[in-house]
Amino acid sequence: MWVEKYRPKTLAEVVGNEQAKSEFVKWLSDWKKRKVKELGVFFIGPQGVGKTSLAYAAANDFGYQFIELNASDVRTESAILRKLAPISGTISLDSFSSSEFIRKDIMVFLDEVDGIYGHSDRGGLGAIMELARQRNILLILSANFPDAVKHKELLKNFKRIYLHPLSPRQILIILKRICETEHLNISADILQKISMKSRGDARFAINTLHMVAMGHPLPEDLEVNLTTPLAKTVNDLIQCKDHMEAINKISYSLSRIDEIYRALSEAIANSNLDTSKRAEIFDLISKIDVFMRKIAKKGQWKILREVIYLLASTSLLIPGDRVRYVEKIPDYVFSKVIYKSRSEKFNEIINSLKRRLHCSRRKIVQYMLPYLAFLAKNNRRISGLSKDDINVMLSVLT
Amino acid sequence: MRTLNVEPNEKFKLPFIGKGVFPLLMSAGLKYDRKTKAFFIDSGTDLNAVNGILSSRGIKLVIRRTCAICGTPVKCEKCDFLSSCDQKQFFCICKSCLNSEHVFLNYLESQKRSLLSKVMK
Repeated sequence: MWVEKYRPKTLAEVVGNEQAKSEFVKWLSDWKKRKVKELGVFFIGPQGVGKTSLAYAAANDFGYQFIELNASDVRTESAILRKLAPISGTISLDSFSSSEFIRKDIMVFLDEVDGIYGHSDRGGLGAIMELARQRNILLILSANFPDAVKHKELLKNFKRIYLHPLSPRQILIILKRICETEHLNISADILQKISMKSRGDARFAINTLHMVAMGHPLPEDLEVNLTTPLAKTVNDLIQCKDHMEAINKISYSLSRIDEIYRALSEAIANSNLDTSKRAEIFDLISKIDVFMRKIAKKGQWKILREVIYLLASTSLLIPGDRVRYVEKIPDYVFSKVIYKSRSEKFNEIINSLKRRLHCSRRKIVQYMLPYLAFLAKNNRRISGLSKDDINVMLSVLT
Repeated sequence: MRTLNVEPNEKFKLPFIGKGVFPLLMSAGLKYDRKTKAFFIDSGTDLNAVNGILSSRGIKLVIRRTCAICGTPVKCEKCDFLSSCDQKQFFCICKSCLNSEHVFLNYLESQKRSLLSKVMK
């Protein structure tokens, strides 16, 4: 993958976010001199702006051993301690002997911290704080959207560095560099289009360039679209011709994985594919379902990547010209909405009767409503209530 | 409306803004240096929020963007990419540097110089 191949090795190679870069360098220099009061650094920014790259490059430049952990994989206190026990100060002799790490300056990069919560993740945040307080390792956290309440301790104790989406010109530098190194002959128009459509997401831009270099045409509707509706995501996924393209579609969709595979299964169920083909696809979807339940029940987030691969493989099995997903809102949603609006109206009627008759709500519902309904049914006029009100009242009572 | 052109980390003074406004500015990410009694912006400053707060005082902060390679001012109004840029970066690349032959190498050199000066400080 070009995203990994062209990951910056030094800080100077990190394009964009120069302000954040200089803040980080200054903080690191102070950290080395033990002049800072913060426990570590907390990178905050959207995806593809260079959070991991910045940490990785800094580790290279400052001579740290770089260890990357994904908070989606290690969320619980025990999992975090198990992973990091060999490098933290509290290690037993046994674990030390089996340790693969050399005891030197170590930088631990914990990605996707916004996925960790305090109690619900069985002390994951507490473990991070404890680890950072030991001060023998440099802890770098990263998150897209930290929660001001749930991550209060982290936000308070870590040096916050914000990274912003890159400008199209900065993206263009990255793309030009790759084209130069790979000896690609891609027109300036295409590069310009990719840099503009990537909306500051360098990873998206590099992946798109990779696709173009592999011979795929540049999609007309290319865009980092954060509000793609589920139907579009699923139908685009069905149309994918390539595994990598499908993975990109899933990864860049804001629709949840469970929504996507349920929509896929619905599309297959409503299609006119032959039974054996359907069985083959449903078999894969049921496997995805099993994995998703494991994730939900046991918190095994590390298998999410496999789920995405499996989902991409499933989508490639579906013939794009014969299956189409049409988003249909279930009937019960409508009835819920109708019931809600009806009950709100009914409450309004009761409240107006309560005010006019100077009695409690309970008294009206218990004693008066049956008589009012009787009057309404016999087409008697009830002062203060319109015909619509009476209809609503009757529909609720019957 | 008085426009105040500022560069990142450049200290600037504001007229008396009142006790109530100061914490609001701090929560919007504007930084204050107690030694020099001056404000400055950094990567965490939400410029839109700051300008929203300062608009009642008739002040607007505008970032003076410069080229990360040559240091010349970059004018966003004339940029071809303006429609797809959220303008949150403090630095950009000027047109002449972007069109130069070895733009990445030039960027690398300028960044090495700039970062080295930060470490030396």
